[in-house]
This record gives sequence, C-alpha cells and structure tokens, in this order.
Amino acid sequence: MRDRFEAIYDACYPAIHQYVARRAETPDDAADAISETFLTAWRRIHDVPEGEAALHWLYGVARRVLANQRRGAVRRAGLSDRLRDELAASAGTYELPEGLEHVRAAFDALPERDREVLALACWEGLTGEQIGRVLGCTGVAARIRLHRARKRLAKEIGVTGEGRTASVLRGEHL
Amino acid sequence: MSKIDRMVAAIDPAPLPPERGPGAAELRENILAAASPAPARRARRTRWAVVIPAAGALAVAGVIGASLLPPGRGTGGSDPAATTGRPGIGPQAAAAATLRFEPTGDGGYKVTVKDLYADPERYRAEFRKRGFDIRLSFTPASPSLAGRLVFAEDPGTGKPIEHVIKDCDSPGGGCAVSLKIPAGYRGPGALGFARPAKPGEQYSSAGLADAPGELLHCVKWRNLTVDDLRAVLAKKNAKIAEFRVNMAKSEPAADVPGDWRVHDVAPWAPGEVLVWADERPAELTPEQRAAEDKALASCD
Repeated sequence: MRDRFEAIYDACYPAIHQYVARRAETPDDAADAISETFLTAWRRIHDVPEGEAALHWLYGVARRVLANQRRGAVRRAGLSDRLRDELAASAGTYELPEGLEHVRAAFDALPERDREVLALACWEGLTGEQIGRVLGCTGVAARIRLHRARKRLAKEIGVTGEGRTASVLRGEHL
Repeated sequence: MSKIDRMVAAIDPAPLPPERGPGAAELRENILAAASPAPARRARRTRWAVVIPAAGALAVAGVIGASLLPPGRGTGGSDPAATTGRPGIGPQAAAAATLRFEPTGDGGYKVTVKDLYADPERYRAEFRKRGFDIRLSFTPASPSLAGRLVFAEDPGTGKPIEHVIKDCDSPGGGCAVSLKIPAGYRGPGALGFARPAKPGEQYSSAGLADAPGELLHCVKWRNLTVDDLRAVLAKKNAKIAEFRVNMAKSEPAADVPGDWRVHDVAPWAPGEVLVWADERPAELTPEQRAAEDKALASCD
C-alpha cells in the first residue's frame, strides 16, 4: 500500500504540481493544494485507479481542492512547509508572452467550466475521454463542453473559422 | 491542434515541469506519517449490497430516526455508531434512508439530509432512485468551518441547487442540512460540505485555532510555553495531539520540553490540536500581531 502510494506520488508529482501551479492564486495556496491532493490520495489509496487513470483521478481531486480553497479559508496542518518556501522562492518568474494579453483576458473572462476544459485539453494535453474522467462526466459530454468553450473563446477574441477544425482534438471528432 | 488550442497553449502559465526540490520528498514523507489509508472500499460495497434493500423498504414505510448528532454526544448512547465507532454498520443505522425528499409543489424537491455521516455512495444511490445524478459528501472539519459549503458543481445550465445549512456551531452539535433542487434539474451535480467531526476523527479541514468555536478562541496563545498551553487545554478537556518542531522543516515530534514556546497551533481533531513549538519564542510579524488583536477584540 505504502509502496503503491510512493510509486503514484513519484510518477504523478510533476504533473500535479504543474496542474496546481497553473491554477492556484498564490504559492501558499499551491503548496497547500498539492499537499491536500496527495493526502487525499494516501487516505483513499484503495480508490485510486490503476495506470494512467491514476493521474486523471488526481487531477479531479486537485480540482476540487482548488475549488474548496477559493470558497473558504481552509488551512492545512503544515505538511508542506518546505514546498511552500520553494514555491514562494520561484514565484513571479512567469511572464505572459507578448501580444497574447487579449487571449489571456478573454480566457479569464470565460466561465470556470469553459476555462477548465480548455486548460485540460491545451495545457495538460488530455483527450476528451480523459477530460471526462477528470470532470466526472462522459467523454462525449466533455467533448461537447470543449467544443462550446472553444466557440465562446473564439468569439471573445474574434477568431473565425473555428467550425470543423476546432472540434478535432488529438484525432477525436465530436 | 486548432488555432484556438494553440492560443490557449501559448498562455499556459506554467509551461515547464517544476524543478523538483527537497520539498516534494518531504511532503511525501509527511503525508505518509500524518495519515493512514481508509479501509478498502470493496469491504464497504459488500456491506451496502446487503443493507441497501432493507433501507429502501423501510424508507418507503416512512421510518425516520437517524440523528444528526454525532454519535456518542447527547444521544444517550443509543446510536449504534457510538459503540461500533463507525456509522452505518449496525442494522439500526442502516435502516433509515439518509435523505428525505419532499416535493415543493413547483416541480422541484426539498431534500433534507438525515444522516451526515453516511457513505457518500448511499446519498448517490438515493438520489439516483429519484432520477438525479447528484453527489453529496461531508468532510470532517473543525468547528469554525463546520457547515460551510466546500465545493459545488452544477451542469452549468439552468438554476443550481440551493442549500441551507445551520446549527453546526458547536463541536458536539449536529447540522441541519437541506437542499432545494429546482424543477427540471437532473445533474450531474456535486455538493461538498464541511461537517463537525466525530470524537477521535481527524479534521480534513481546519480553521484558525482561535476562531470562534475553536479550542483557543479568546486565548492569547502565541509564545505561551508548551506547559501553559497544556494547562489552558486541560481546562477544556483538550490536549496536544502532536508537535511539529524545527520550524524550517516542520518535523513531527511526539513530545517537546515543557518550557518550549508555542509558535503555531492548528485544530487537529475534536479536543486535540497540533502545535508547532521551538526552544525560542516566535518573532511575530505585524500581520500576526494584527490577527491576534483581531481575534481577541471580541473577547471579554
């Protein structure tokens, strides 16, 4: 059991760290969310699916943890103090590429559910099926949500010609 | 990849994998030390397979009886969970439905949660029987957080589920939770609430140690000696569960010298706190001083 957790932790840590770093509001929140996500995985080690589905399960947990953070002042009992310091030290190094401010603004203006499907597809590089696993819906529902989110973003930033091509994601058709 | 996808990819705020410092390894060890896995679900599933038919039959007959109070507090010990230490194992606990559905007249439902400690799969099954795809869960939280909505998901179209949650304001108190499902709502939806913890149950979410309702409310606890803090806690039948020492590393410790100073405290479980302590007193930041003054302002 312990071995299994350690294997999952080691395999999934970078992806979960990155997932959380992309979404958390502060380095402290990020450290807490990473900590809470893996604590949940350890507590529920019997529920963690095998293979690559483990990572998608963890994304789902991290997503809830972050939503939880945004809703209330929840503080974890310091499991991640050193990580917190590391994240604080590396904060502020990211700069938005020039000329993409309008994309970022339009993306930020989308509803959360649109942002999440787009981010899972374009940042985490997941397929519709995998997005469904993270969000707890079917692959078809995820693809529909993604399609709509793309359309809304395209409209926001005035990109046209997002009809058929937009519905293709890693070889999947809507 | 479409143009839109490429644009979204280009605004990825963390495009590179993280550098993995010692913090990740430390976290792994801390997690393994801080908690233990819940029992395998397979065992629980088998058990529900046996008890759910009975629960369904009795619910139809209108049996109501599960208490919202945590087991062992003010129930006179009649709750079977108080003796087994786990809710829902005994036949009596399993006999009542966990949710009560009442039509609201406008096509919607009012749902009253009758058992905050049930397996989330039971709620799910009861919702499913009514045609709803709704996940409901309650996680143990310290008193100042109990009763809060911690997450919610809705299909994103139409009206969301509304909720009313009250009477969660003491560690031994229950919570009255009701949901209003609008007409036409089917899901998928999910709601997660923080509920009071059972005796001995570790909190999943902890509020500030001196927030109203918490053990150290109205106590100026920063930089107390560990012995003094113990005395304060003892008056409330409470104790220190564990220590964390070496402030930079936050290492677990079972005990520390009584003259060490308290740097930080977090609620741990009912009647128990986690304490960060060090040989030397903490130098408070202006923010910590302000937070302390604010916490004490409403006290006599």
